[in-house]
Amino acid sequence: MSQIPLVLYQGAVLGAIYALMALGFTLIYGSLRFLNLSLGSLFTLGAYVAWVVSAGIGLPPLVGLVVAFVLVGIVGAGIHEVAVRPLVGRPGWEIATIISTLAVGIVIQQLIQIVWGPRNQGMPDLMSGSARVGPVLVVQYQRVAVVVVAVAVMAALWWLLTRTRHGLAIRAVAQNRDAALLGGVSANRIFLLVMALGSGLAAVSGVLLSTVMVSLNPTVGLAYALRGLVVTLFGGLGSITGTLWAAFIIGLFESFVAVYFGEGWKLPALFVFLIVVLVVRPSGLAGVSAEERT
Amino acid sequence: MSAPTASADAAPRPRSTILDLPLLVLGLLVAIAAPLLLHTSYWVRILILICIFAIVNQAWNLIMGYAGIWSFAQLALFVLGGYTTALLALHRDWPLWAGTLAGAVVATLASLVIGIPSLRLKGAYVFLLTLAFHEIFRNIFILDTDQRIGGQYGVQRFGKFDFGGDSAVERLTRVYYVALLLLVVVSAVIWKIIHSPMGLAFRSLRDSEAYALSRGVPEYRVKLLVYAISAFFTGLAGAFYANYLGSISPLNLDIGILMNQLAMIVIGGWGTFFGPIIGTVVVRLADEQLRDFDALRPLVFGLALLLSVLFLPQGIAKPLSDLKDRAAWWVEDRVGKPH
Repeated sequence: MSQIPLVLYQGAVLGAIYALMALGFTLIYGSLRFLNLSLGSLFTLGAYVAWVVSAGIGLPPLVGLVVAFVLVGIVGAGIHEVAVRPLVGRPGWEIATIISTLAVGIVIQQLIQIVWGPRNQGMPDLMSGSARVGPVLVVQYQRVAVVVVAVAVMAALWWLLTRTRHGLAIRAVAQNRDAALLGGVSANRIFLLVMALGSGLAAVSGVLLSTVMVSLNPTVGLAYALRGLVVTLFGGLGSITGTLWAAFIIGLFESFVAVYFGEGWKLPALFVFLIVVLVVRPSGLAGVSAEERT
Repeated sequence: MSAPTASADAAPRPRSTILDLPLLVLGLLVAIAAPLLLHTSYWVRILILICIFAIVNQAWNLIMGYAGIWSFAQLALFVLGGYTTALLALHRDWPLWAGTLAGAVVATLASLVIGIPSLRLKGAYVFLLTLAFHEIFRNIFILDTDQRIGGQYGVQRFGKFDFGGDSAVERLTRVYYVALLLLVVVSAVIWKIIHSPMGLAFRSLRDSEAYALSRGVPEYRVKLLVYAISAFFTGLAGAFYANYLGSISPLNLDIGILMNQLAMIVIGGWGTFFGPIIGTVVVRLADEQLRDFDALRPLVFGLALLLSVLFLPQGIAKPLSDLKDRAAWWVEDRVGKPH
């Protein structure tokens, strides 16, 4: 029982980071109806870009975060042009885009490894110091800063989606693509924007996670892409509020398993959880049926 | 150049089957002669692996290419077959041939465990759920901390296939012929399944689900059945692999190996019958050529995978089959149609 504050604290940190990652998947699935599996590598790429900016050039980590968001966003738009757009509409394009983005992800991961080497790297802290709260819990300011940044990014995203015309267009395309096109929305511009946004979110998520984890290496993105996918499915593919709930529930679940059963059981427990969810409620939290989503 | 070609485009010439049998026989002869021509342990080992992975890919293509089930639990079933035979031989002293059959049966049972929740779902969900099963299997094997199933080092020293032979090459050559026989039998059975009424049912589900359902195809049952059949062959190949190497470990579930396997069927051409075999040969040989450039291997395969999806959606099987059609027409024009 005494461990509960620790579970809540770690769960909140993980949840905030997973939410960013999963929002990338869900935004892209929501409007383009495909899974962008290159996000795992873009997550790593973002972390490396921020690492170069902050540890290499010596600028503040927050500048690195912004640079990573922008650069990786551009890369994401490029991936859309090269590996996604030529396939959309072909017979079997859903699985073809899964494979092509997976292939892009492998290529990016390998390029990262060639450029920066396979060794672990340490990301500079956003903040240092910690405070003891209660008997078991030591709150690191670093982790608090991560949650604050993640929440700020989500607030900005919420503002973009609900208060701007671009956001309106994105939501229109997500709700009904054909109707949005009839209404004069330029589909390809929206797709590019969504791919860039989703990729940028994955990058931010990568930067934040690598500041709280011990090390950064070229293969780190894969495990987190899988978690992002689990969160996305649990939330209901394409639903943004569902994704946010799912991220924090899964963050809590994971920190619960880690504290009570050990770190190694996090992933298997998570996947068993996913299977149970998909059997009991295939549509995820948000309640849109899988039939409609295909 | 001025001759009108529109009429030829409007009614494409029907495919000719005149070369099918000769090419099949030729392919078999090459496969039989290969270990005699490349008579070193190094090459025969490569040939054995090609046969084993070709079986895995044929089974994967049956569900991915023909039945439209995007299952990524293929390697999990493969490794499960391997563990079954290894543990039965180690702890229960089962003979390896019986273990091989048991591996296939256990993989079939496991495919029901995976298939029952997964196959009611569609598209991207199937992909993710089966990938989740892959990760669960991998973690169960790795997290076995009390070493009952070997932990991350897997199971070794439970015996190896031995079909006799005087020298190392000779022994390997015999294993190769057994593997080749297995590949031929599995391919023939898969061919029969694809062209059976059930094959028609799952191909129609892939191509036009609404129509297939309206004609009364029991979707869930058909998918579960073809999934189980594919798993049987996959488990068989996995058990054969473990018995041939004398070891099996969670390393076989590495994501890089899954990607390699995917590259084989995508580059070879999924949804085509010989594509997975061609892809296995090509990717495996390319892999050997790149042995000296270890860091570049995944990069090369990633690029090849991307280019193949973009420009050769049916893999290299498509241009090869076009070439075969032209050759067959040429022969037909010379010797006349067979009756």
